[in-house]
Amino acid sequence: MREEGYISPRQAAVLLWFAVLPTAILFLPSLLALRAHNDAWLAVIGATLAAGVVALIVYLLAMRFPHYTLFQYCELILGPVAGKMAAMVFVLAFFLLDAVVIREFSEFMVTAVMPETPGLFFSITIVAVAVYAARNGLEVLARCTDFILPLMVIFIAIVLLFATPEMSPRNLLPILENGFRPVLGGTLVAWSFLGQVVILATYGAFVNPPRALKASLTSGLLGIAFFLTLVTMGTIFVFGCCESARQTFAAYALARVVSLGQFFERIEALFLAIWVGGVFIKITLYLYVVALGLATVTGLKEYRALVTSLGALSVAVSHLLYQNVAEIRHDLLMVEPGWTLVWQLLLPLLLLIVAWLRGKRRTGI
Amino acid sequence: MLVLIIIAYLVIAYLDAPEIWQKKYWRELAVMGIVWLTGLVLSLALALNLPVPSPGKLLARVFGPVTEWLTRLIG
Repeated sequence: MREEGYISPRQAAVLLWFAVLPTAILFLPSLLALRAHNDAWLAVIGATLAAGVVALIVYLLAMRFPHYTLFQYCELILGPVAGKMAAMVFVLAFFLLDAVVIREFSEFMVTAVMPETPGLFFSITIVAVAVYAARNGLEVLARCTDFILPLMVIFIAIVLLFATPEMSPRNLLPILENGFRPVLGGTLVAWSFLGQVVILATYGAFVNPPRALKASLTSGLLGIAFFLTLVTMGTIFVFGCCESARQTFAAYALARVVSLGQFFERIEALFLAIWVGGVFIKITLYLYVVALGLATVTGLKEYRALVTSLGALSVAVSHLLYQNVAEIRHDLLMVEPGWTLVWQLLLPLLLLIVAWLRGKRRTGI
Repeated sequence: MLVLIIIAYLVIAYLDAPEIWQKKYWRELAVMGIVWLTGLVLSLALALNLPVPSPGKLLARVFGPVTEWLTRLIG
């Protein structure tokens, strides 16, 4: 099934930023400092290269099947039975990712901001808004980003700029102290976030013209790498690698150190407001993709009816997933890299190879 | 808590189902019903503190060793 309406290549790129950045900015810097120490920012660049491979696969698949979503060409490539199974794996993976993001959001709110409030309250409220937005379709969501993106960019710039008095670039040295292996270990952790660019294979079908997908993939990936490197470097500059590794939410801690002449202080509340906006876009996008995918797999005419039930289910699953924020961090370090490697890299690669071998393409529409 | 969950799910059903019913989209209704029912059962089980297997634990059991192997291989 597909939706009426198109988004521009620029909007697709911005949506891609929002599909990766919000949770990555919050969780990744400290995990990277844990694995790659001073060279955390190099690990981001390494993971960007790895995600570039995914982007290339997505682009080649999209060129073979323009205007088709990932879930649709799964069936076209692998045949009805195996194709449905592969598409279902993608639906479940996106659903699980959505639940993880919801849980990360509520855990962050509880741990860092409002420890007295039950996490369930945060997940229910954000999913309620996300359901409302996802029912309105992709075009509306793309226009939402036009509002939130400038705020987000300005705010990251403000935090980094006003934190400069606290920064000491010497924290970055020595570069490659222990050789490349820690950097590669960090790359593996960063990969599980950056590999999420695979989501463009689903809503990329609504980009017009399809050929412009190349531009949205490159600018999307480069933008993600740019902001992530900037934030990671900022945290290393300010805290040094050991202290960054100890902070659970290093980017939030970065906003807390900003203090200018005793009057420009405590801007982390602003960080919070804008970050919630970003996470809202991320959750909505994944919810939309899951509903679209499930509707495609089961052969429905519209996805809208599924959104609310899926939202309710994802809240329940998100509460089933982890006990606390320490478990999330452990999972991001020790489980997610392997799992994401399978469904974000190997499965699309398999699709591409099979499509190439069987000579499947659907370009004539 | 149980009552709240049941009310919430009934509200969802009330908001979504009638429109689909009127359009006679039976497939949509069936898929929606399955998702809705799964959510309801899962939420009730969680509220009652029943031992529900966590998909996170399942993933950890399968992909934990894979990640560990990868980490040892390159990192």
